[in-house]
Order: sequence, then C-alpha cells, then structure tokens
Amino acid sequence: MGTILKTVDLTKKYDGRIVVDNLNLSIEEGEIFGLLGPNGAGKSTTMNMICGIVKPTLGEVEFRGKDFEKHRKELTRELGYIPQELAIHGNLKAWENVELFTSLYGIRGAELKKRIDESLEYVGLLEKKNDFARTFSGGMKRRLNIACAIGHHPDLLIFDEPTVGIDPQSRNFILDKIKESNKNGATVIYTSHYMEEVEAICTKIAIMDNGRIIATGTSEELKKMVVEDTSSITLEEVFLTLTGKKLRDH
Amino acid sequence: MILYLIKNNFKLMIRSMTNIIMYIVGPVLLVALLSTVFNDLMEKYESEESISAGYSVSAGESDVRSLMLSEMVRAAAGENNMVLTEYHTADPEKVMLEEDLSGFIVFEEGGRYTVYENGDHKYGAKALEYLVSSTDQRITGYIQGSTDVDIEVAHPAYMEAIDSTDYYGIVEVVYFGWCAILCGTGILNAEKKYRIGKKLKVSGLSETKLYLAKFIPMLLVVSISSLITASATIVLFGVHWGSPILSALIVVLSAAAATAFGLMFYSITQNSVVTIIGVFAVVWLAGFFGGSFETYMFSSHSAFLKNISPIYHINRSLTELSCMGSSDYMGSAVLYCVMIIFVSSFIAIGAGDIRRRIGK
Repeated sequence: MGTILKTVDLTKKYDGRIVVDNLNLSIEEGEIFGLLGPNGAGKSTTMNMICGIVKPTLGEVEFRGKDFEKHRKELTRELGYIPQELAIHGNLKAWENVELFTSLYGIRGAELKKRIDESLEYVGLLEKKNDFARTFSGGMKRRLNIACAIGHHPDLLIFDEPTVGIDPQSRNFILDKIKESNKNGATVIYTSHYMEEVEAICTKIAIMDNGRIIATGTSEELKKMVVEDTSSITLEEVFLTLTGKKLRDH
Repeated sequence: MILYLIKNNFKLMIRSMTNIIMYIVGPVLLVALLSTVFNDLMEKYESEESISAGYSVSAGESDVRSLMLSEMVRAAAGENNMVLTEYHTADPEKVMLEEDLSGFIVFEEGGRYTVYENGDHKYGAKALEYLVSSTDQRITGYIQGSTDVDIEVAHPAYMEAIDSTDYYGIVEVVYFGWCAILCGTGILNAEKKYRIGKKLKVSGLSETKLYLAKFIPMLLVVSISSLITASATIVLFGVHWGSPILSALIVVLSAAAATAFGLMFYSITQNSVVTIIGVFAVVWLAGFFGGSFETYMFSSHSAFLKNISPIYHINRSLTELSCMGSSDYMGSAVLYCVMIIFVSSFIAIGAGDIRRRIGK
C-alpha cells in the first residue's frame, strides 16, 4: 500500500488572508482518513483544492505521485466527491441524477445503464429509480447524493459531512456503506463534526485549525497527546483541548 | 462527455411549467393583444393589379423644372404599368373621386407639386406619391450630378406593406426569445444553491464544456419554443413569416445571441435575480428602440438608437422578409447575433475560469 494522496506545502490565500497555510498531508491507500476542525479551520478550502475546484496559491496536490493540476483530466476519474449539500436535481428522476454525474467521467451506453443500477442498488434506492428526487426524504436524498458520486468507481472517496440532518437509521446505513466501500478497496477522506462517527470509522485522523494541521494520528494516538489514560477521555474532549473552547464565528 | 449533461439539463428546462408559459403562452397572448390594439394604425396595403391616376399641369411653359418633372413622371409611370391621364380641371379631388382614380398630381410652378390620394386606393395612392417624390429626387440628383435613384412601384421601398398582426406576431416572438435567461434560471439556481456546479467541476469539465452544457439546452428550449410560437401565430392569427427557412434561421440565431448574453451576465454576477433584472432592462431598452412595442416604422427614435439595437435589425429583417420577401437588414442582423454569441461566450467562459483561479 502506497500513498494515494499527498499535499505539499499547500497554501491558499484570499485577499491576502491565509486560509490554508503550508499544509502537508499524506493519505495512504486503504485508509479512512478523518479531517476534523472547527468552522473556518480551512477544511473546505483544503477539500476544494484536493478536488481541483480551487487552485492553490502555492504548493501542490499529488495523486499517486502525479501533480493533480497537471494531470487533472486523468486523475479526476479516480475521485468521488460527496458534498455536504444535496447536490441533486429535484426535477430529475433518481436514475437521471446518477446518469448525469456518472456520464461526466466518459461512461456511456450499456455500461452507463449498468453502473446506474449498481449505484442505486448500493444505496438501497434501485426500487425508487423512476421516482423524482424531489419526492425523496432527507435520508434518501443523502443516499442518492452518494450514488451520484460512486458510479464511476473512484479509488478515492471524499465525504464532506455526509450525515448532516438525517435520522439514525440513515446515518447508520451511510456509515456502513462507507466502511463497505473501504473494504472493497476505496480510500476515504471523511469530514464531520460528529466525533463519535469519526472515531467509529476513521483509521487515521487529522485535526486542523487556522489553516494548519495541529495533530495527526489514530484516535488512540490523539488521545494520548492529551492524557495518559485514554479510556478517560473522548475524541471530542481531545478536539476541544487542542483547538480551544472559544466560539468560532466564521 | 457532456451529451448526457446537456440531455438532462434540457429535461430540467422542459419540465418547468414557467418556461412553457413564458415562451409559448406569453408571446401568443401578447401578439393577440397588440395586434388588436394597433390594427387600425397598420391597415395592410394590398397591392392592386393596375394603378390609374390623373394629373394636370398648372405651371407655365417656361417652367423647365416642372415640365421636366411631369415628363419624367409620365415616363416612370409608363415603365411601371401605371396609367396616367391628363385632365384640365380646377378641382382635381372631384375628378379623382368621380373617375375612381388612385390619386391625382398637380404640377405647379417652380417644380412644386401636389399629390391627392384616394382613400379607397391606399396602395395606388402611396405608389403614386412614391413615384413622384422619387422622380423629383432623381431630377435633383441629375442637377447635382448623381443619377442614383431607383423607382420601382411594383415593390415600393417607401414602407413595408405589413399589418399589425404580422408585425406583432413577428416581433413578440423575437422579444420573448431575448428573455432566454429565464429558462435557465432553475438550473443556475440549483447549481448554486445545492453546489451542483461545484460537483460538476470536480469531474474535471473545462469551463467551455460547463458553459456549453447550459448554452446548448437553453438554446434548444428557446428555439423550439419560439418556433412552436411562430407556428401558433400562423395557425391562430395567420401571421406571414415570409421565407420560413431564412426567418427560422434568424429566430434561432437571435435566441442563441440572447442565451449567450444572459449566460454572460450570470457568469459575471453569479446572481440570478440581478441577472434577470439586468438582462431584462437591457432587452427592454433594445426592444423599445428596436420596435418591439411601438413599430419602428412610425417611431420617432433617432436612427442611431435604432441602429445600435440588435433587436431593431432582427425585427426589421424578419418584418421585411415577411412583406417584401427579402431584406437588406439580414446581414446586419446575422452579424449582430454572431458577434454577441462570440463575445458573450468568451466573457462567460473567461469569467468562470478566473473565478476558479481565485477560488470563488
């Protein structure tokens, strides 16, 4: 297993303000990598740079050793992005939504139809394939959001708070699917404000604040940075100890 | 790669009831309304098979200019199958009505003349008036060393023979086509609100492809709607569109220019409300000077304001195609549309690229 994604001195400035500051991350193949941080820590900007939505001011993103910006066309096929927002069209049927996003990666014809059914079945929505997305519940929309990002069989899945505002059943289903995808060989980057979720599924966690990584390691390793007896502390307490309790009004 | 995206964007647009109301029901209602309101103003001039007119000469034999004018008018009338008969009368209007003539010319001293027009023969009367004034211009041109005046009474260039139904049937389809951005607002809003645009960018699509994925379905929806509306105006109101192929070409080009212009506006502002207000304001002004509400033939706007309005060139070319079968404004209409398509597309794509670079 090698490094699938690496950021080298990744920096982003907006109007002279540094949002991401010389970020050096290394994500190994097969990991579920949790990226945590308070609001305004620079997580979303980092994600946007990793996905190629935003160009870095300085530094670069390497995907399997290749500069992402230079090999963007080739490398985006390896990437599945599940945004926090429900990036689906309500006036399209479930299968049409999956078709729209899966086809962007050059998949067409019979293969596309196969992938659409596969993706919908994976998230438990095959029976609802002909229903308009606007008729779906919040949890179903979240699952459809995932189906739209996995049809092209990416090696790296990026989940940006995928369980916001859904019931425990849907959350449990999504977390199980993330673990299943990981077992099937996908590397996962996962951001969330739910610490128990991160602790439950992530094999490695990085905590980010003010545009920098302030701690990296497994859940246990992070806890040990704060106290010796790891059974007496939760990940949330570690997080608050490292980032502080001051409100972040960003 | 973007075929499925275009297909699904197209589906999203045609599933919107707003678009159907805006592009099909709206123009049809407005055509019905405006053509009725302005019906009396624009009574159609039907061509007559033969035009008979009378004339008398009150100028003295030494008045060379008047004699030259009467001689040349008689010759021009003969060349244009107009029967011109001389009468010796002090009451030309009475003779005109008694003899059922289209009009009557009195050649007066110093090259002056008076044309009496018979209200029962509007086309013939206008043709006579045009013949005399054109001949007068030719004499003036001859005196000044120029002979470049054409007189063709069969197809007079003095004004388009178009009625209010034809006129508004044509210009309202064009005007609504220029509101093309409305049919894309559903998609533009969804892409912004739900970050769909962000997800599309993750796939590595270039700004050009992202632009085309909106431009093509919007153009298809607006063009198809405009052509359906144009067909509806033919069936419901009997609107004459002249050459169907040339007219359709201009309508589609106009829709393409409108689509590109709207997308450029959105690409700069990234706000659909501001875009709609901005685009509608520009289109309303262009339509105001271009004859979308008040016919350009009777409007008192300056020639400069009319000429800088692309809608004027499009309206005029379509109107002239309808009533004359050809138009000198075709070239300028096409040129305006092509220019708007290229410049707007270039700016829209460039703005998207800049936004990605600065990370907004």
